[in-house]
Amino acid sequence: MARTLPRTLTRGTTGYVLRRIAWLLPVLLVVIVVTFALMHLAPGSPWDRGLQDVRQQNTPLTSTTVRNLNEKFGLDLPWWQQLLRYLGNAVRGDFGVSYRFQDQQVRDIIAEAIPQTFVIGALAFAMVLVAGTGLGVLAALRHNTAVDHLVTGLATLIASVPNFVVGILLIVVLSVDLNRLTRGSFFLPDGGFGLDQHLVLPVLTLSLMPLAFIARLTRGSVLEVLRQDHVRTARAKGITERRVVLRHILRNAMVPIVTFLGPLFAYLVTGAVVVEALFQIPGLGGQFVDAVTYRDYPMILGTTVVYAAVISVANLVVDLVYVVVDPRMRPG
Amino acid sequence: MSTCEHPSAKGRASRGRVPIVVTGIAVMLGAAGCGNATSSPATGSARLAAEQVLHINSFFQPPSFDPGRDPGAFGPSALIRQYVEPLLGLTADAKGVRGAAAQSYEVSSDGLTYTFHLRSDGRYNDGQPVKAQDFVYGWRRLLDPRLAAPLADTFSLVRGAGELAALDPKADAAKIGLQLTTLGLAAPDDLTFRVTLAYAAPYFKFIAAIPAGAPIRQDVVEKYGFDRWASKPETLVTNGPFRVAERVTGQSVTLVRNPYFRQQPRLATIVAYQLSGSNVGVAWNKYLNNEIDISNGPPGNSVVQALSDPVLGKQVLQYDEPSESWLTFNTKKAPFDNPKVRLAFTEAIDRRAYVQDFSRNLVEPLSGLIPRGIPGYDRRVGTAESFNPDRAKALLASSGVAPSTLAGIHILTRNFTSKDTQFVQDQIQRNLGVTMTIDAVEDASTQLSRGNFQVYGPDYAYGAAYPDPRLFMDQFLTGSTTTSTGWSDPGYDRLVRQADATTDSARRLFLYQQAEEMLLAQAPVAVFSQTKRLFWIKPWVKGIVSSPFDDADFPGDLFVGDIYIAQH
Repeated sequence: MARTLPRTLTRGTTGYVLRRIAWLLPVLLVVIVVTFALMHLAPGSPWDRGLQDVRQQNTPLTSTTVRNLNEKFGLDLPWWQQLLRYLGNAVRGDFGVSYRFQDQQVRDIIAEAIPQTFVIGALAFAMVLVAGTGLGVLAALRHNTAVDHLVTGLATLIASVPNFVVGILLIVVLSVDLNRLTRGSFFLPDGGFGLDQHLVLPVLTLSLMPLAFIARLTRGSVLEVLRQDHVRTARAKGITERRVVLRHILRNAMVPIVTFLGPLFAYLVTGAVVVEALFQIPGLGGQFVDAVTYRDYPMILGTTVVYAAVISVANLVVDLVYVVVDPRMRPG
Repeated sequence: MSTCEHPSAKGRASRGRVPIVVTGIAVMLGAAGCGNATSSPATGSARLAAEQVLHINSFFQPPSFDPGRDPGAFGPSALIRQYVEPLLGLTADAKGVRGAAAQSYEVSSDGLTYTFHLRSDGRYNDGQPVKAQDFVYGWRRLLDPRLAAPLADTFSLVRGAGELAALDPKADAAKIGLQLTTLGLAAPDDLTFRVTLAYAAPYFKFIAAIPAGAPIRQDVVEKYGFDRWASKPETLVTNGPFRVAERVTGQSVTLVRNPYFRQQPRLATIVAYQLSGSNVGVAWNKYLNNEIDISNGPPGNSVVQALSDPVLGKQVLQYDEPSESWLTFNTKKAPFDNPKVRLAFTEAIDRRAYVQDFSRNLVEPLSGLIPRGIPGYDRRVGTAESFNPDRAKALLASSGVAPSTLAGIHILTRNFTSKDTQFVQDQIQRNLGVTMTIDAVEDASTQLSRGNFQVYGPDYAYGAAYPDPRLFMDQFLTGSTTTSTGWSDPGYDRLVRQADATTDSARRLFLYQQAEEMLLAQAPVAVFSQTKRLFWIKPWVKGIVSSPFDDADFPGDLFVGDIYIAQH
């Protein structure tokens, strides 16, 4: 497809891409300012957790300690000075020190968390792509058979159940019950302890809903292509069914699916918040939820900026894919 | 001279632990600390497993691995306590102290100067010897306002610390350095650390056992940074039995033996997972799946089921915790500005029924202010104010409060489904004929601090950081911000302040008990119940010597050297 792009298109596209990238900066700035304002407008202080007693319950810190902490972390400054200071540091890649892990840089915690989120997101992405399109094609090719009804029925069911419900059901059945039934010889761990077999349940949970969606999308798209003239022509020419499916049906049916992949990836990365919290995975989502709970301002800002950047880049990629696959979207 | 041995000292003596020797005033208080500890159901002799790895869950994640920035005195410090060693440690019965980095200490006759004699074999995990100068540096740093240490106030009884705390880290930056040198901290030689207090404080020995007071090496801090030296395992140079080998923020901490520690623990590795406190179910599943060895149990009512389970029921370890809950009266607002009304409410609640019907036996009834396990606890104290519906009715009738005032009482709670508050509402209705309206609000803490309530709770109120009754008694001193009763009594203040500074332990406890009776007779709070610790421990985890001041997730962590994994 790229071979057929005219030179004017690549020139126009480059300008378009640069403009879109330049727009990322004001988008991120707005995200930072709005997040900063919301954090500071919310009641409470990062030091409300105070001293921990034997039950890990809180007693308030003394006013002297609160003053010292405020000065140490710059919270004694007027809000606009705090914001400017944050922006100035952020430009240099310094997102500050976490209030919750006071000897850790936010960028280091995020750097530790990102692989967890992206590994889960990437595995779920691959699973959605392979299983979702596979089931969709299967259902379309077996149109109005039991296989079709089973796939569409399951896809409808799964697409209508939120992932935290799916996750809890998977934990109960595949972890707890399976462990009990097999007397501990086989079960799936319920996540949280590492990037190994612990990934199975979180990845399943994260991918089931988009998998169902992609399966339905693929089925519809394939059915549409199946009825088109070039498929009928290919079959009339005596081309093998396997070749017809792979070269003439799938290739054309993939167009709407490919354009959906960008938002899907963004969904899998940002949608992992619930799954990470459920399976106790210290990824970006888990860190974000904990940061909000602990009023860890620098971590809230840091994770929000990363999320905003991921979504912005995913949207940019989608728009570029549109430019490539849909001539009506080309600039100029 | 007195010797205080740990209950399992026989087994450990062969490994060379030296019992603490104390003199002077500390003899009397320290000697009282010998007793029996609670042992886990898993104790007994068993063959060691080849892999000595303990997997635990730690809901509490330290905000910093720098001991100076630890926000908890004992309970939450479990992880930090494994890789640092302060001067002293608590005895197993949690009433006295034993030697740790210091093998003995002396107290001057005026109770103001403590001289600690360090062990000559104390070593950091890089092999360097522990010196008294490291304690001087560590304690100065802890009290330095620029560190903003949460526990600085706990150590502020050191001479000169009050003046130092008054300095502003920014405005008075130039004065801080000088003030640090005037603190009552000295190291006459490498193995002697001397602390001079601003006032006599017989409880200071417990403060010397807090991990935040561990030695810190100046060269390490200067090399890696004042706030950054503890951020990586490789720069975290400490003197405890373990060292931090790996830290994955928010996920897990792996501790391995400090090869230079004088007495190697039986466990080779402790892996502490850091599952969020909000998701108890995940930790319980991991316990059932044998991924962790110790659990606080399942969420909600499943506890009852797990307690009666034929297998899980045998893995339970339960003991008292020095913490309690109470019902808070606002003594500044009618009708609770009348002591007779407060007492009537206090005596109208059947705490035993509460424990049996509602608390799933996770608490015990309590009437006095000083809970079981804390010196000064007397089960007779507070009995006069415990359940007595007839007396409660008579008290209310004699209070002179108009029925219209009683008709409009609101009880505040932070829990929208609080069975505890509903229980109190029901008891007051049944035993006093007073109908209360429950106000469940999210910002209960704010309402309490502003005095916008009549009665609040019952709610978890306070847990002692170390075994001294002053922690409970000081809560009710005039000006204390930790309770919201608004209650104040000069006589109570006088008694408590006198007791706080009294070095004679018997006299001290007598004064506290007098003050406690004075407080209970005026009932600014209705003490409700004492919390119990409840753990499930895998049968292969042996040698747990539990203490009320253990970590809430890690029983036996004060004596971690005794824990081992049996063959299974």
